[in-house]
Amino acid sequence: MVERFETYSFLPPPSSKQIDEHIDYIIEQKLTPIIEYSEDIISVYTFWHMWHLPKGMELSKILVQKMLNQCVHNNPMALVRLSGYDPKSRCNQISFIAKAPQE
Amino acid sequence: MATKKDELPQLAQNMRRIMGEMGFNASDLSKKSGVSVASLSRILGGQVNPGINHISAISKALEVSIDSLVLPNGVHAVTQKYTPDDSTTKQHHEEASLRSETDILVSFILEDTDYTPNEAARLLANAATASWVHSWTQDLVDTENASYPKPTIAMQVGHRKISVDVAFPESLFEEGSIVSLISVITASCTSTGARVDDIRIPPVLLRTYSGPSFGVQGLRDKTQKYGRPLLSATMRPITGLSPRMFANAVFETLKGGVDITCDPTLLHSVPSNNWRDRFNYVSEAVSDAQYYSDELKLHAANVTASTVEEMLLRAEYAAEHGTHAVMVDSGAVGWSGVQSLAKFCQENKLTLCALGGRALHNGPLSQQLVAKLLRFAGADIVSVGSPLRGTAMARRNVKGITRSLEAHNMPAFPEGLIMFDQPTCGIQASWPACGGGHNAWHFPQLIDALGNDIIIQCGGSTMGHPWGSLSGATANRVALEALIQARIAGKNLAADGRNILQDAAKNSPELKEALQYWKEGAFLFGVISNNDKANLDGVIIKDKKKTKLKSIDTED
Repeated sequence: MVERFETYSFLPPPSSKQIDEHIDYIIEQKLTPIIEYSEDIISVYTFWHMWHLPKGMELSKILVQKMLNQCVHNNPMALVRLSGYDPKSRCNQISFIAKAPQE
Repeated sequence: MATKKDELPQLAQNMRRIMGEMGFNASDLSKKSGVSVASLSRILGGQVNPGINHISAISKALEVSIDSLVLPNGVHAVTQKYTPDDSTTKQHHEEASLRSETDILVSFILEDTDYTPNEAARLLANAATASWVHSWTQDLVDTENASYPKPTIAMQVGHRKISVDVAFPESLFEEGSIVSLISVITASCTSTGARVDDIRIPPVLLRTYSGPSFGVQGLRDKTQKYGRPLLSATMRPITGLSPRMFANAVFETLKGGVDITCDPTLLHSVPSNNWRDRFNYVSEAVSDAQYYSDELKLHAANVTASTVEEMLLRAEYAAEHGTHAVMVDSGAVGWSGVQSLAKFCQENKLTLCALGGRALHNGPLSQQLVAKLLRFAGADIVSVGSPLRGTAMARRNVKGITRSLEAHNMPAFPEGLIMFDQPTCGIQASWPACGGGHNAWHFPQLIDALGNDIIIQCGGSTMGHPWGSLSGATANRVALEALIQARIAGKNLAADGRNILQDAAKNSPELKEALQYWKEGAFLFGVISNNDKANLDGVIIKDKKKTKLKSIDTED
């Protein structure tokens, strides 16, 4: 089963403290956080399923952490990816694998 | 023959008849339906054009369908044959009856004129032949065998309105060309102020058109979706997204349960979102969505461009990469563009959607005529308005438009401005796509009014769902399927639609959230709220009472 994809794949898997630092950066720079997961072989399919953030609530670190943990808990066999999208350059500024499949 | 567009004489008659049959009087009906006695008396007197809320409350109280109140009796079975003019000599009569089978009959209407019917007939006869004076070349023409347009009937239908029927001989038109049909007929509209209401195309000319390559039956077979209307959603916002994010949104929406997603009509190719990248990513999104949902999906890619060669180039790219459908702005591109694209789509197995550009179809040709001609030109999906916005008159006009898109029989329906019987010669039916701010609360009335073979455009409620477009698509799909199941079981959708939706929401949390979020009756189109401070800064507003201009600096 594939355990890494693109950014930070040559480093050991991130600890929860490092993930928190990235979430701080996302909120500071006013990027849009996106949480995605996928179970299949990545090289064939380019689009991952999305775990939506609820509307109408203010963006905060606790919210993003909570949704990320929910996604991981619901899909134990999937890769979970956290991204921060910048509308000005229309590109993801941050994108890395937060959790590898737990077997 | 032609009733005025803004009168509903049948409503009062039908209501009185049904109330007499069931033994209601006005006060009973007002108690049961919740409409006040004053409004009821005004409706029965024929003085007011009631809105859809009153009509549905009355129809629920009387336990009949809305169509049996609004449409005249027996309209489904009537066929009015066109009879040629009564002439004095026998030879004239034979000539007229021979010609009436091959003539193209056009119904013109002159609004707000000072002419008498006689003068109007002569005016249009001269305008149709494009000759106001006698020229020397007229003596070189064989007048016995040459045939010219002839006006047949001219009558006064209103205070300053005249309706004239003109018969054009079929030797004036080119085969297989809708463009030449329109060009010859609307030549009589220049500087006479006439508008065209309907055209009857005889089989002689109709067999040269090929019609839509897929149509209702073809698209259902290609995608294997039987027994229900289809859902579609238009992507938004129109600017600001990268091609890949756009395709991500398409993937989420298609996976949730929508059948066709459409490019917005306003988005052609801008440097930040050019057409090649967009088609590329979107075709991958379509194939991924097909894998995850086990259903066949389509995305209508917008190929509108300034030259026809560029349009065909983009359509070829879309066909190679697999978006399965193509859309075009039929008003801006024109009839030549639509016909050339239709021919290309037939050879390459693409579905052609003629969406958008409806504001440009308010010219001399009326809307049901444009829908009919788009169907003959080869468009598989044609956009019509929504029958629910406005009054009961809108419902009847939209019904007229959808009638011109049906396959099997097209009898005359003068209240919907279809003046003639139209033979079909087996040309396929097209899909009507009705949209305009619908959400799940409106589906029962939509299906009740227009039937099963439609496409429901609900992009606003799909992408505006608080939990994302995946949940929005699922909510709309659950609502649609629950209503179809109830309709086959025999329930009356216009009366019981709300209860069916609320029952279906017990099994689906997405639908429950959607029904709470979209408060019933709210249309999401054309809404101006007081909280919109978006683009009003810096606008100079002229006040009608004061003569001075209000400037931004002074505080008034």
